[in-house]
Amino acid sequence: MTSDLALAAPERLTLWGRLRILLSTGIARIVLVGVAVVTCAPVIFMIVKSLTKQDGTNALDFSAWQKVLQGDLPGAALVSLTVCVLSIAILLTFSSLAAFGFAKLPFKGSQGLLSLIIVMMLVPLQTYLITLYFNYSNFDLIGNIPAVCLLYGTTQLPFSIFIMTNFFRAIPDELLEAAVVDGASYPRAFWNIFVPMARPAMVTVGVLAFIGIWNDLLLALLFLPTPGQRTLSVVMASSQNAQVFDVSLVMAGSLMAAIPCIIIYIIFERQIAQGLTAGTGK
Amino acid sequence: MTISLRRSTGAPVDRRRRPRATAQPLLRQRKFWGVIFVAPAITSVTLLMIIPTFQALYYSFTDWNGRSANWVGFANYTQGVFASPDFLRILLNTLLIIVSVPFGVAFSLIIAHLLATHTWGRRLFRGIYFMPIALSWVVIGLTFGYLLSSRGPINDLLSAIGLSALRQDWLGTEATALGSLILVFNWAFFGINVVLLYTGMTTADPSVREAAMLDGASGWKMLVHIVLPQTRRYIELCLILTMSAAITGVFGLIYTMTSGGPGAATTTFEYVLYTRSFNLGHFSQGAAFGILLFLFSLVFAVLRLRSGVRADDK
Amino acid sequence: MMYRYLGSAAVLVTAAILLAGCSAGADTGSGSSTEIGGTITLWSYGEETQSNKDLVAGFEKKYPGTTVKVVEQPGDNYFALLQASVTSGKAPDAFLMFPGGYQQQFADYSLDLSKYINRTDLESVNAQFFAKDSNLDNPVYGVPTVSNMYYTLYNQDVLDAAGVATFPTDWAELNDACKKITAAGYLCLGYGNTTGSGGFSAYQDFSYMSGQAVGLAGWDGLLAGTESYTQPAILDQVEQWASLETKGYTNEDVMTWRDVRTDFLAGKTAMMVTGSWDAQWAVDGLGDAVHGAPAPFSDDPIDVLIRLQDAGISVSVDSKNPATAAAYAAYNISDEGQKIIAAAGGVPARTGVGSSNRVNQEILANAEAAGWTQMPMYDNFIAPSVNEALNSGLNQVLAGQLSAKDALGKVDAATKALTDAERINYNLSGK
Repeated sequence: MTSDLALAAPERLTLWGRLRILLSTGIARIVLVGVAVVTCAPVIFMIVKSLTKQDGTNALDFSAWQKVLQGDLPGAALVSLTVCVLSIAILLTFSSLAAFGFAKLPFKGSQGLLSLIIVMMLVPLQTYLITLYFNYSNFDLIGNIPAVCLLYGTTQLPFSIFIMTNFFRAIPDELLEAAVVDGASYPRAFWNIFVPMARPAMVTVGVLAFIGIWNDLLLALLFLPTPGQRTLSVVMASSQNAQVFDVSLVMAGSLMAAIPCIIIYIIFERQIAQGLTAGTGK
Repeated sequence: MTISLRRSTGAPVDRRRRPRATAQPLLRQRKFWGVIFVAPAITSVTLLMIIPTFQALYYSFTDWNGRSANWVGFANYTQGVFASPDFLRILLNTLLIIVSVPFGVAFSLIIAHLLATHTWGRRLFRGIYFMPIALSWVVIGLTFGYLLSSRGPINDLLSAIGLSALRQDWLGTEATALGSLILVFNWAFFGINVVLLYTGMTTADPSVREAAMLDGASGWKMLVHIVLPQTRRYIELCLILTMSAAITGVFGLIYTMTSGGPGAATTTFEYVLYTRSFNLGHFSQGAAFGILLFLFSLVFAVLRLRSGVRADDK
Repeated sequence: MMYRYLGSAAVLVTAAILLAGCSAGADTGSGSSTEIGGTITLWSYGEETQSNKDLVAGFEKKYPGTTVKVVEQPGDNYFALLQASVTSGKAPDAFLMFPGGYQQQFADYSLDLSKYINRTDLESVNAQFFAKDSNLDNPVYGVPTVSNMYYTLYNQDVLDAAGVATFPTDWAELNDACKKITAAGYLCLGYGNTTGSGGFSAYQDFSYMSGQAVGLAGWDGLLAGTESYTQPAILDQVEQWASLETKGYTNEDVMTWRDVRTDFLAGKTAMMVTGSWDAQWAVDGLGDAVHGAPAPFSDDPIDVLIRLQDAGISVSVDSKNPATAAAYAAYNISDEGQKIIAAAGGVPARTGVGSSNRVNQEILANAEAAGWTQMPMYDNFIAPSVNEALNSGLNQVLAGQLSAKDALGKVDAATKALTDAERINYNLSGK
């Protein structure tokens, strides 16, 4: 019996009570399973579509996957990986520094700045994308991977700062004060004490940022146009035959692109939960 | 986790012994470092987000086509935006998507609550629910384009359970296209919200809940009166995240599922921004739409900020 | 102490980014601007085709020391990307371009190729739609490499099974044929979301409907806004076209059905409106059973073939290697290049070079034998906003969501809303 209702008040388990518990557990399970099916079904559909012939026969056909694995996709995946890692490094550095500053080292106007950054979380990328493109182009930074990673990192910055500021706020001020009194400088205190503690929050932010950057199409399309620098999503979008739409190829490519994200999530699942807990100021 | 205020030797810190004399320079030093620490983030956000936004604001008052820009005042807004034949529909669509967010989050709340109170298979379920997040919007749009087509599995399912009267071309009918879009968006985002809320619920202080249970509260009452207040911050986080994605991420979905159609049934501000700028070359009109979209988000952000995101209220 | 190094680290990082930025702008094209040699970049619309690969190989062999770097761009975003790269001065040396309105957007950025390619070559491929005011005496902004057509692909086997002897040539015959085909359990005309970008390309159908009805002079009027899309001649045709769906001769989900091609290949559909680029795909799947014919959307027997010198190569004015890029364009339209295109199944633009694809050969032969009038593709010449209104409106008309009058009225409105700069006179009728 796994419902905690039963655990709560054992002396109330009349027959009617037992039935109610069974019923609610049963319904709960049905709902959960139902939702799981609805979530899984489209993914299964994708898998099936990627493995069958698209000329009406629905025969088993691995050619889409073969094409996906042989083409430039693995190379593009490497580019995507590089871009993600570099962007996340920039993101975590900037946001942990800033979050610590906002949370523990207030100065006049720091609250205002924090609010400004958080408001930027709701500004749609499209609003400033075009002007940003032209700015980058004027400085010849299109196709420049570090500059583009800086951009990617910055787009994730507001959310990351939001999480991490709350995280640091939850740590008592006394800890920092004690370290300072002991003679540590702020940077040293930050590096030696707060950063190790912030790992769960950084993992959470990192994983979500990874998925976002890995799957991004619009920025990559505009800012990393040259071959050899193209991310996975761009190569997938370009590998479409101009006139004939090959759905199994698209499905296979998309599934392949999703695999790293799923792996990352599985690896870091526990830490994501921890990071979220602390990151929302509980 | 609790942090104990002790030195490495284990002896408690005696606060009274901190000399007063160093308070002032310490404060100054703290402010100095405060500025240094936040500087990189502020710089990059200003350079790469805030300034381009203001540039877009400027261009929205010109006839910018990527090369030259002449001042035209509000022409882009009056002619390009408000006089747009389908403007009202586009506005409605954008608003409806935003308004659907709380409902999606509410549903995630219920599911998270179920997960938190029944331990059977919860890890598996959480993993399954999270899976769609790993998929890109493009592939989700494509997949559902197939699933929702008139001869697709969903219609077949409806027939199979006897609801064949409901069969239709979900994405090709004006009345149902937007609704389908909203449902797909929520399908994709549901997993993150469940994980977030579940975390909130399972880390909440259990004693309050236990006390309530002994008093006889259960199920619905428990959810509304006990769990909700406890997970308030998580709910806010979910709302912010989902709202933000509803405004920006749904673009990829529209692009691959309906291209804004039928007619303007699924066109939103951000979609029309893209088509105006790139398909028609009217970058200035795109900028105008972008600014309006920003104002929208600002309104919702203000509403949210009011309820306590900004400072902790201990 | 750590923080002493933070400052210098920051400086180094910034410097690195800026330096990297500077070097990214370094020249990739070598060679002087009049010699042929070095590397050029070429943008391809979607996945690079086999014929393109062969062309590149042939070109590099003919001019040793040259390299053509092909960059594939997603078809859906092709013009967006080109627009962005061109206005920021980063255009590729050579890029694929479609004539008419598409070309117009990029005219200012395209090199005048008449300075690099001789007149006889230009005439042999009918490059006038790539020239200013459709006149080869003016600057020529690109050269067409293929000659694409819009037509209806049909499966003769299905027609036979339904008892339809010959492919229809007007509305009456079409209705008759569809009636028989539908009765025999097949789908007569298949429409759907074949490219994955919402709806079908209604301008293909419109080209036939309006082309037959009003001719090139009528098109000039529509483009100039002096004639209305709701004029009886056109309205009537569109209404008859819409009635195909209400009679059940097309599928119901015309905007969203993704398996149009699958069903056509599987022999469940009799006809679909598409173009010459699909001919090879159709022949590969259906063999001898598939043929092409003009869409019979006309009161009188149709005698129009929608054909346009298409898939042109343009060279950017910012190219650092214009001679090589222009040479590549010239190679594409040379006899050798055109033969390569023909071998891959396309319809070469150059007169005198035949296509190797049976379906295309047939329809070209029929066109010549029957003396059909060749008209270009309408969508190439209307302004993008008008094209959008036309396409989206007609999609809804066939789906039964909008009346023909309302949809065409919207196109009128979009035409009226054009600025003078956008309202371009192509002088299609050549007057």
